[in-house]
Amino acid sequence: MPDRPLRHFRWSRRLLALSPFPLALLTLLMLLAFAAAPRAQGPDVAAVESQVSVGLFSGKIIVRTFGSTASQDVPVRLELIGPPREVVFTQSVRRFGVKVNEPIDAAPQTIPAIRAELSSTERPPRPAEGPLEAAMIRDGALLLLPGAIKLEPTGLFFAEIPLPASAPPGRYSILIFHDHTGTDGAADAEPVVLAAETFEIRQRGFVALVSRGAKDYAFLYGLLCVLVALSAGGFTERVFRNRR
Amino acid sequence: MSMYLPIAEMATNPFVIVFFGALVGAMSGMFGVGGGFLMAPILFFVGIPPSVAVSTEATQICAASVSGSLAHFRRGNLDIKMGVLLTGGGLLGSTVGVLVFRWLVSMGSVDLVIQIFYVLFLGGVGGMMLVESLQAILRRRAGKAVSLRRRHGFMHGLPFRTKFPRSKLYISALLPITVGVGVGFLSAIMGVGGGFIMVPAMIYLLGMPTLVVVGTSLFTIIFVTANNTLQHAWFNGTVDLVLAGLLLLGGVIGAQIGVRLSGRFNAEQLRVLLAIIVLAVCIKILMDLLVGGPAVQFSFGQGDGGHA
Repeated sequence: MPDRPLRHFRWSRRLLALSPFPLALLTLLMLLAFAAAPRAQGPDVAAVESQVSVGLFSGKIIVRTFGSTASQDVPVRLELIGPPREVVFTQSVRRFGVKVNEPIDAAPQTIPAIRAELSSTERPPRPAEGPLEAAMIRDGALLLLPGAIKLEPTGLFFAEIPLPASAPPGRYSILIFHDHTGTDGAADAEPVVLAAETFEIRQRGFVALVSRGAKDYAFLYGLLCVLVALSAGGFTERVFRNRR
Repeated sequence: MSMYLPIAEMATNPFVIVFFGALVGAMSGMFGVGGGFLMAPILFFVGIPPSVAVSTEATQICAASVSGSLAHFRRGNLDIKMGVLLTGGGLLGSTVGVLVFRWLVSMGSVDLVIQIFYVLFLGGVGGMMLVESLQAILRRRAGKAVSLRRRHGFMHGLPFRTKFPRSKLYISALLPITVGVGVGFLSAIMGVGGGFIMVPAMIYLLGMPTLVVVGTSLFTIIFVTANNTLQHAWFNGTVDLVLAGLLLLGGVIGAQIGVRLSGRFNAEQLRVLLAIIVLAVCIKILMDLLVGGPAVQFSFGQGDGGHA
């Protein structure tokens, strides 16, 4: 019996001694939460939600993005960035009257396989910057789609991004912005990021099998191709032998 | 309707591919050539990446050559000994060609070299074929006998002479090996089977009888294109099995149509037709090189060292 109050006293002291740590942890969490808040909720944004759905419709990959914003009077801008792709930019020049494609050493060697920029206004998200971006637009690697985001007066927005079925597999990210450019004279103001979403395009079934086989077992895949060609040729000759 | 090609990483209409496969197959059946020199520009036009088009075409030509050479073998129109020597040279030439191709890629001038090779060989072969065929037609109309003149040049005095009973020839083994090396080299650089170069070379250089030429040429093309397929799949990963299947399907149907159509023309008329097609492709490439387009135009392609 005489030991009990003493033990109780000791535990209370230990708790008192530990209390600064939970307090410090709580304070740190609060600081982190407040530090993150201005990025997600700017002065114009009260609540933001967004969702992405991806589907294959009549040979095209349609990425549907919808969400809501509390400040419907501010235009919304959307950027879709595909997986990286290694490229060689060339310029066609004449050497002794003959057209030659020469690599541009200063050009970027890695670009997103597909990049789409959509806006809720009729003016383009931005003009094409230089001949390299013009070449990317011509090739379908860069899509500039003004007015492609439908922004409702209620603050709901909806956009469809039509990607070609050739969109390469990999991770795609979508960034949704509030575009302040030109609304209040602040032409070079940084857009406020509303939300960021990611999705992945993956190959499945036979397509995935062939693609993976060609990459992971290149020699065996090559042998298989040769065998297919030889047997297909042999089979064809057998089928048409009696018809000649 | 569209079908996804896993290696080309694009969707395409399978009927378009089968149609073009049939078109080239019909020409192959009519003229006895693989048709690679026509299929490559067509596949580029459809939007297939050039590196995938060139590699996959080799698979299709390989299959068509197996079918054709088996048929000729059964008819006794195949000189195996000549074919083996041509194949040996062809494998050596295609290996050297792949190395030179890689060097050209590193130098950044592969496109120009390919186009110049196409212009030179298509122009040369097409021109020779057109002149020779027109002369034969004129001679036939004049009532003179049509025969291919076999000239006895310094090539027939080379060492290592051996008999080729099927071709009724007694020539140096170095000759077919050299022809094979040349064809294999061009095959790797230009992405073709080499039939349109090998057939005239066998007729005019080696002096082989026309009856044996097509079967022996196809026999050699089997091994050269099989080697190309394996190397492209192994080192570049650019052979699309699905695309090859579609081309094969079209090619098989087209070849049968071509064989039936060929019965309606005589040999000279067929050669004139082929010469006109070859020269048309040559002129198109030459025009692309010399005429049209802005002075400076920007474009981009895969950074993997393909034909693009």
